[in-house]
Amino acid sequence: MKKIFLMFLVVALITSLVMILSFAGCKTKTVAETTVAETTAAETTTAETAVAETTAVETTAAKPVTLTIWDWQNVENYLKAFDEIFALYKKDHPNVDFDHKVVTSTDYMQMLKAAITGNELPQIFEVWTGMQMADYHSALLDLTDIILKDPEWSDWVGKQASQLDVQFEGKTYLVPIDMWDVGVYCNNKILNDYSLKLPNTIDDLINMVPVLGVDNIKPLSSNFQDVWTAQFIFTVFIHQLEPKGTEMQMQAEKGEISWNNPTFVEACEGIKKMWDKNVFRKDAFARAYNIDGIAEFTDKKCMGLWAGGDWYTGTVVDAGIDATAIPFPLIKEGATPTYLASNGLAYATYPENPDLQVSLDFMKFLSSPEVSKIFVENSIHPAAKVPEGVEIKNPLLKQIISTASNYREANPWVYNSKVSTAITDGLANYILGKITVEEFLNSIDKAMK
Amino acid sequence: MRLKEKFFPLYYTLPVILFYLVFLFYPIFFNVILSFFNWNGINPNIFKDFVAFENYKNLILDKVFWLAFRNTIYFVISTVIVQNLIGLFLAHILFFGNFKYGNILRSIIFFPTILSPVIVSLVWKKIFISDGLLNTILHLDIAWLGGLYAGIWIVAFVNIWQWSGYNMVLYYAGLQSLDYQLVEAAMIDGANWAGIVAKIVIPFLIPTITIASILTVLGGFKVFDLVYIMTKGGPAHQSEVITSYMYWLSFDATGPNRMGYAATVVIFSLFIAIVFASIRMRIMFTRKI
Repeated sequence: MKKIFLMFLVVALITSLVMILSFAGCKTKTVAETTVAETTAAETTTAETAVAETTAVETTAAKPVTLTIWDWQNVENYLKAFDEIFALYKKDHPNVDFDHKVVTSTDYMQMLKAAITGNELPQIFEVWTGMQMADYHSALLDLTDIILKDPEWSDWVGKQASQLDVQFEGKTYLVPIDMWDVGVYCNNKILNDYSLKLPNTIDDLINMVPVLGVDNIKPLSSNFQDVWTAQFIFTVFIHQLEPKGTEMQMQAEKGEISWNNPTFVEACEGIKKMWDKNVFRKDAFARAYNIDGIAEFTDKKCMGLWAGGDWYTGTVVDAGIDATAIPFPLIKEGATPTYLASNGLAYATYPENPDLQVSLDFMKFLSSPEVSKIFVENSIHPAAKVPEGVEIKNPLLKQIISTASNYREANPWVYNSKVSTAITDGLANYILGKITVEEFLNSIDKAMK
Repeated sequence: MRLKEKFFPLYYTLPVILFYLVFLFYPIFFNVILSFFNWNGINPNIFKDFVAFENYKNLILDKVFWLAFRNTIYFVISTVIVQNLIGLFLAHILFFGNFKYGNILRSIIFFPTILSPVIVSLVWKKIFISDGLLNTILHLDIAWLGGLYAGIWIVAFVNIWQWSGYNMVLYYAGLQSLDYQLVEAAMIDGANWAGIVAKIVIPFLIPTITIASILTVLGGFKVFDLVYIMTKGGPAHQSEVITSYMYWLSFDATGPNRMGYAATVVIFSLFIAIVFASIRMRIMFTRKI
């Protein structure tokens, strides 16, 4: 019996090895194909864009295509907007059908990774902007020339979208679909009830603590479980203190300057000051922004919602809250007001896409004024230009679109995952009093080595 | 003919063998191989960046891993001890108490076991948040889940709440085969209840205690959903356990996409699981449980 068991074990190991080797072989081939496909795609798109477009129109007229699109925008207004967009596109392209698969953001990462490694990617799919671009860009089609050489498309996209977010090392890999404006939504009724004014500085927020505390209301929502919401305060303070905040952060990320510098120290101390003065609830690090934070705001348990992006405008208005959108209050008087902006939904495609031209046509269509109009009507801030004369019914969205263009825009992301982890972990430890500001910032320098 | 007969059982077990090959051996073997590579889970060429034992070296030096390991051990030890004690106590009370509605009581105590851990986590999170039920009743302002040190213990508490009923059922089943005459004889001889429990009940339940403990240990090492929903391993990984750390390393949107390194963590977990499974098998064979 022992012999049989050993034999079984040997067979199992050999079979597993064969399976792994075949898997590896298959992948190696894919890489080779990818390189060729990338070159071909680049050549086609740079030199023959116009021809390809014409051909595409002819081809698409004849060949029925189902475009599969994956994203995690599982929100009612997004789904409604996309139904309208699909219907509009199909009017002129009756041969194109859509299979829009929307999952939760938690499941999405696993699904996308499995699809990439298994060569089963949909034609169009959402990819995280910012940090994740460092890893994902290798699987994506470089869209730089495709967009740049199409004056209409680059005009639609280039005006409002935060270009840094959809790029990696100067190349564009994603088509930005909506803008991710991150500011504070202030509940006007709470401000009126307690005779308070819109906060201009963090000291104004701190002064609200005892006034609102009588009814267990906090000045700002508490949602640091996804620590980027705390990290974004750090980023916004850097931008408020330095006119070239983005460049400074990127210099630090490249190792050109130390993270332990006076501007960054001051930015950290601003957050710590707010924390120590109970601007947030004490268990903020156990609360998620997309569940607990928004619930806290709609339940009127906090005056301001941070980080309120455009995706919340529908929810806030539907909850009957009269809100004003402002950039994050200043770290001190005299600092420069700054709006954080990024791209929320951004789509990519891949070089081996069998329906590449049809996919690109549709991705371009998503940047068009007709689509922007649909987005605005559904409380979404489009990345592309909002056409003139479009009525923005959602009052909060209207404020965001006009306010965002009045302030200096800051890119919030850090692209190196080691740095990002050092910031989020260190910031939490610093805020909770486990380490000093120097230890925190030095730990980022150390992580880069 | 003899050889054919010898292999005869294998023919019947072939479907299961194939199942094991594809869904057990292959993933394990793949993980072992992957642990020697640096792969982000995205690059199509998985075996491009061979790093030899670098991932294992990093594992030893990784503070967050050891924090997660420590938390897992805390979680396992606390749940094994408390869950078994509560289960034993409840089974004891229900068995010897001879309650009129004992069945209903047993069902109520067992009920949390059939709930989804996701729902259990969400409900308990609502209770433990700073403006939740607990702080409101006790007029406190404590960050039960958001602090640096309490998170893992709160998660362990919720796990104990959910699974104590399961242990109670195991012990109750064990007690049903107890020869009650032994207890009666001890009572006639003047033994007090504590003595009866210590000298008769506990020794009688040793096989059940062993099995219940091993099952709790194995369940403890697998905990993920409670941690992920209640604290997401935070703040700053302070309530991370091995499984949540593996998830963060490989799939989380804020994670570093280190699949090769995550595979190394999997190998470490597999090693622990094998150790406990071996102990369990050994006990089962030697004691004939």
